[in-house]
Amino acid sequence: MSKIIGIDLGTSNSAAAVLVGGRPTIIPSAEGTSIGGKAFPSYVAYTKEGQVLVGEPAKRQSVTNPEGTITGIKRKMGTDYKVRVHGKEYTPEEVSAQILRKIKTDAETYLADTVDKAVITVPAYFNDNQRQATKDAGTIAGLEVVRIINEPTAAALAFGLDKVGEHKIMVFDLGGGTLDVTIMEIGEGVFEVQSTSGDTQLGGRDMDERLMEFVLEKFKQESGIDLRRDSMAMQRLREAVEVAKIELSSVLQTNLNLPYITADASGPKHLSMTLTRAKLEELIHDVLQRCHGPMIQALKDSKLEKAEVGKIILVGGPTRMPVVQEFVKSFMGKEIERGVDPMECVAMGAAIQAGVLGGEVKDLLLLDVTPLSLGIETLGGVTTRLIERNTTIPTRKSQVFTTAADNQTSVEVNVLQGERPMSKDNVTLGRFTLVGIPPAPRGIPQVEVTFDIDANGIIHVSAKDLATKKEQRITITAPHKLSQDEINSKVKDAERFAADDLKRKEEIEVRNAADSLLYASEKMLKEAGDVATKEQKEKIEKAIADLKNAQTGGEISEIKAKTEALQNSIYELSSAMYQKAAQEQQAQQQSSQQSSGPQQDQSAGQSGPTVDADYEVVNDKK
Amino acid sequence: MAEDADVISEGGQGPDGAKLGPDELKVRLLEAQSLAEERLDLLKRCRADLDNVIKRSAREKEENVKYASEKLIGKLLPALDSLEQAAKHDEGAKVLYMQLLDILKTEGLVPMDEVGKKFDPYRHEALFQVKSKELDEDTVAEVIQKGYLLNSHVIRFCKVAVAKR
Repeated sequence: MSKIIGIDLGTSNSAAAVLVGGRPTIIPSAEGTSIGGKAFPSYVAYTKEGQVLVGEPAKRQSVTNPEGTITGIKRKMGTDYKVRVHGKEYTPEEVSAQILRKIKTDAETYLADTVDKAVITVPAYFNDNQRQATKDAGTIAGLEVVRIINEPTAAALAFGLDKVGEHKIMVFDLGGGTLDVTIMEIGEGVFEVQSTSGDTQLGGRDMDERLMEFVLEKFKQESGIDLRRDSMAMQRLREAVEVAKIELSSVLQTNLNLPYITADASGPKHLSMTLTRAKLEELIHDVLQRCHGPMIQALKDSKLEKAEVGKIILVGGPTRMPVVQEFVKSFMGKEIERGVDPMECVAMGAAIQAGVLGGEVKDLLLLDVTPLSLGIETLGGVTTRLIERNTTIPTRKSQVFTTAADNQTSVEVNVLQGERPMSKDNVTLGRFTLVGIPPAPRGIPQVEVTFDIDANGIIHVSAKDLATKKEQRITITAPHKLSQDEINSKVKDAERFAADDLKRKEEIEVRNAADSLLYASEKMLKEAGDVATKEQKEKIEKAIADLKNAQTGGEISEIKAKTEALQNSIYELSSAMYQKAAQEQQAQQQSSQQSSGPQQDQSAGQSGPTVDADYEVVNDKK
Repeated sequence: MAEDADVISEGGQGPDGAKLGPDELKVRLLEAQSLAEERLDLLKRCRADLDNVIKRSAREKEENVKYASEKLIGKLLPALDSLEQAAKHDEGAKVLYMQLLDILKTEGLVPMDEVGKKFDPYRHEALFQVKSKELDEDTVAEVIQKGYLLNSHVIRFCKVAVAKR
């Protein structure tokens, strides 16, 4: 069952994707990923030796073989133009076929299967000739082109905009060297192009040039040296500027450091400057201004007002820059769609279309996810998550919990939904009690709690005492269907209160730790017998009393300090006990009788796991 | 239409299936069979996808381990370039450069020495051409930025000037 792949055959870069497990996945280029991502440059080269190179290797040799290197062949598709290389003629279809053949090979390596069908994207303004030429290129490459779709349509598919009813969208596609603006109407799964506009000489490369010029001029002012004449320095600078530009998408300022960039009579020179996002914005301001025209034109041609455009999608690498996003947003007066990589969305949308045509995308296969995390309440009112949000269902997860008090014979399971760490801030979906646990010291019983969500979103929660095999369960049917807005607000709440919640959770953890330590210490004192000296015992008793006092006082820092104090005095005692045990073991080595030492060690060791609050189930019914 | 309505209402009653004539039963059987086939097909696709994802992730994991240091070393290269330049001016910097290079060599980093070799787009990136009488056409005349191999895999292409007669 070979798959149909989706191909974004671009002017400057190309990429391909395929549905894997119902999700579009970019097919990596055999040469590995470059700085721009998984796409590769749309370069084809015919060498003097008769070799054909495609992608990165073709680009790297372009300077040595300008007559044999072809770029931007997409602009010639559907024309009678012929490329003459080393005395041979090639049609644009044949050149494009080389790019498609490379994609076919990469896809076959990636999927470990033959690939002979594809969906290929073209610009919305391509005419029938150009579309036919693209189809023919596929045939030459050994690919049956099952459909040609428009690039903006593919982008909209990748963002899932075909599923949200009838509306109008704008696709702003800013590539390395071209800008395409498309306005489309979507309804009932039909995409209709209303208007297109653009600029074939405008793109990210202009912006890179501006930044480079600025750095060169500034260095010239400061040092009097023009780096343009130093190719080694230019190479280092170009790479550093590219890294800085990418960094400025996530931070407000970055440093450009190139020590020993060059030298003159007075000695070595260093380049060190700070670049801010504000400066970058200023530098590319006029490039951005040129994007206004095509947007206004596209709106005018579609006879729409800005307000009538419901959704905006950004496509192309340069639109990753916050300044470009901000520019489009403020012009249209509307938030832009997010969530899909702008460099990859066209190929991904083509892969989705391919999946539909191949019968792979069906309702049955659309797996759901749990919108919010699920868990149970544990000691101190803390939510312990068993299933994280966005887990694909059906799913199942178990975790073993224990009791919080001695001789606790029942546990209550409070099933919670939400992102907040404290139970009271989350929603209780249901609760039940598991009774009949045999009396035992805290931390000994093992209660396995299992969450099982079936394909319909129905949650089954069970708690099982592993000793008696007694079990209780609850089924929560369609717990209160949340709307997307409700989900978003809950997730936002969790982010908003993250700091407060963390503090409260820490407080509970301190209290739980104090509680566990008190329990373990008292137990140890009882068992220590004559190993502990009177002073040691008194010291521990005092530390215990102090900690209990602090607990009633309720001051967290105080509880923490006293817990540590008690811990230290316990360590003294336990090391004394270990020593004594070791001595006894030595003394009694000949006799078969084992000292009581190891047993005591064990009891001291056992208190370890109960310190961990996460492993204790709340008990309010004994 | 009328038949459809009948089927739906009878289906809803469950055990009334017995009232259906043989023809209708045949239709239902065929429907059920085609649905079963469709689902089996989907199941197979899912299994195949899963199987391939498992294989691929095992392969990717292997590669990730192999090139785990690649990302960090790649980020260190600009600093190595700076030290290499500094070494031309300063004895201390020279020792520092040698030390760092030696450490990176133990991780499998090998600097490429390419002058005079035939231009190879899988190892070199041509920045410009230079006229040369001594060197053959299409050989590396000058290295503008040193290239590096990590465990015999190019992590930075050697930026070169290529000879032209």
